[in-house]
Amino acid sequence: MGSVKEAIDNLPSGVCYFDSRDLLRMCNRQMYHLGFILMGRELQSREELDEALELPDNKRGVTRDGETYVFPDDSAWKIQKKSVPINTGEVYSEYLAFDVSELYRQKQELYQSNAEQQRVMNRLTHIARNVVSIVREEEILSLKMRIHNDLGLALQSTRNFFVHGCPMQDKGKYVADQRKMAKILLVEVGNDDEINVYAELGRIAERLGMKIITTGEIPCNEEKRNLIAMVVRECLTNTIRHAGGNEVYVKITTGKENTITAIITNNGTPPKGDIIEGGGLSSLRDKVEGFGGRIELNSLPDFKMTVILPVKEEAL
Amino acid sequence: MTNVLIVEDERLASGMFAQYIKSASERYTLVDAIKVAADAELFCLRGKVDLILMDICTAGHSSGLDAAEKIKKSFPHIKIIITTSAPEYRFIKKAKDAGVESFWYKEFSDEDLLSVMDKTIAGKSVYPKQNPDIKIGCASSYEFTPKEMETLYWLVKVGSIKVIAEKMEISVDGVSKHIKGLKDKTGCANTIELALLAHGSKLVLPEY
Repeated sequence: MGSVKEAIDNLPSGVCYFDSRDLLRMCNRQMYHLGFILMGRELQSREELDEALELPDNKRGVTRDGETYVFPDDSAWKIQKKSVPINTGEVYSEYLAFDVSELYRQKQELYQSNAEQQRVMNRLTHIARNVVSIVREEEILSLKMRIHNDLGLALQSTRNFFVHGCPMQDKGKYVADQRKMAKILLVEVGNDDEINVYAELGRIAERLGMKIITTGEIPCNEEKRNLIAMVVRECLTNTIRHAGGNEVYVKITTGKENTITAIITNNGTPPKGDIIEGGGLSSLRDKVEGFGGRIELNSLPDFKMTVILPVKEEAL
Repeated sequence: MTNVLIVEDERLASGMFAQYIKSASERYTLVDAIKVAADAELFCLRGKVDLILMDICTAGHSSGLDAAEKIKKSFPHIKIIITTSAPEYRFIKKAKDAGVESFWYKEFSDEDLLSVMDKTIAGKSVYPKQNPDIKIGCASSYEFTPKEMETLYWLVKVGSIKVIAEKMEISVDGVSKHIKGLKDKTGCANTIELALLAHGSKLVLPEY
C-alpha cells in the first residue's frame, strides 16, 4: 500500500479523488501542489476545487484557456474531471492534471505566427486592392523624374545660350525646346483627384455627339458607380452600333431589399427580335453577377436593360 | 494627317503626350485625351481615330490591354501603341497576342515616344527586345525559368499551392519545387514575402 501511495505521489501528473460526499479520499503530491496554487490553501473540498477551476483567481496568477490552466511559472496543465464508479456502487469524482507546457507553448507560437501571416495577407490584399493607385503614384514619380531630366537639359541649354551664345540656325530649335518645357511645367503637377468614371463617360458621350440623360442618384460607392458606368457604356456602344440612336436614358432608383436599380433605354431603332448576347454583354453579365447583382434584358417592344445591384458595401 | 487618341489617366503623362503631338502638328492631330481605356472604343466607333496611345492601368480599373484587344478585333486598321511603366512579365506577350503594333515603356525605353509613333504609322512594329530586368530579393527576374514565372503569377493571384497545381496542371510537388527554386534564388524566407516582392515590384499584376 505504501509503495502504491509512493508511486502515485511520484507521478508527474496530478490525480485526486473525491467520494460521493465530496470528501477528498486520495490526492498525490502534484495535485496538492496545483490545488494550493489554484486556491491559495490545501486542497480539501471538491466544491472549492470546482469553483477555482471554473473561474481561476487572477490574483494567484493562474489563467484559463479552455481545459488548460497556465500557472505563474508558465507551466500549462490540462485538468479534466470525470465520474468514476467503484466496486461498491459509489461514484467518485476523479481529477487528472497533465503537464502540457510544451504543447501549449507551441500552440501559442503557432497562433502568433498565424496572426502575423494574417497581417501579411491583409497587407497583400490591401496592396492588391490599391494597386491602381500605387501604380499611378509610381507612374507619376517616374514621369516627374523624366521631366526633371528634361528640365535639367533645358536649363543647361539656357546656360550655354547665355555663356556661349547660339548660332542663328539653331535659334529656332532652342526657342521651340524652351516653349515645350514651359508648357509642360504649366500643367498642374500633383496628385490627381479621384476620377469619376461615370462623369467621364458623360463627357465623352457629349464629345461624340451623344447624350447620357440620367435621373436618380448615381451611387457614391466607387465600385457600384464603375459597374453602372460599364453597363451604360455597353448600352451606349450598342446604341451607336446597332440602333442608330444618339441618346441613352438611365434611371437609377433605390429599391426594396436594399438594392440599386438602373434601367437603361435609348432613342434608337428597337431591335427586331430577341437580343443575342455577344462577348461584351456576356462579360458584363459576369461582372455584375460577380458583384452579387443581376441583369435583365428586354428587346420588345423597345430595348431595355435593367441592372440590379445589392447596396451592401463589401459585396466584392 | 494622323488622328491620335491618348488613353492615359495620369494628368502629367497625358499632358506630356499632348505636347509631343503638338510639337509634330504637321503630321499628328490630337483627337482627345481620355482616362478610361474602355471608352476608347466609342471614339473608334465614330471613326475619328487612326492611332491610340494606350496606357494599361487606367481609371476605373479598366485594362488598356483588354480595350486594345477589343479594338483590334473590330477596327484592325487603327494602330495602337501601348504605353506603360509597369514591367509586368506578361504585358509584352499579351500586347503582341492582341495585335498591338508597338509597345513603349515610359520609364525604361531609350527611344522617345514620337520616334515610336512615326515608325508605327510607317508600318513598323516597335517592341522592347525583352522585359525589363526586375530585382526580386537578391535575384534578377531574368534568372527565373518560364515555369517559375508562371508559378509566381499564380502564387500572387490565388495563393494556395493546391489551386496553383490545378491551374498549371502539374502536381503539388511540382509547384513546391518551383517555389523552392524561387525562394532559393531570391533569398525570400517564405512564399508570402516572395509574393509581396513580386507584386510590389509590378513584375506580376494579375489584376490586368
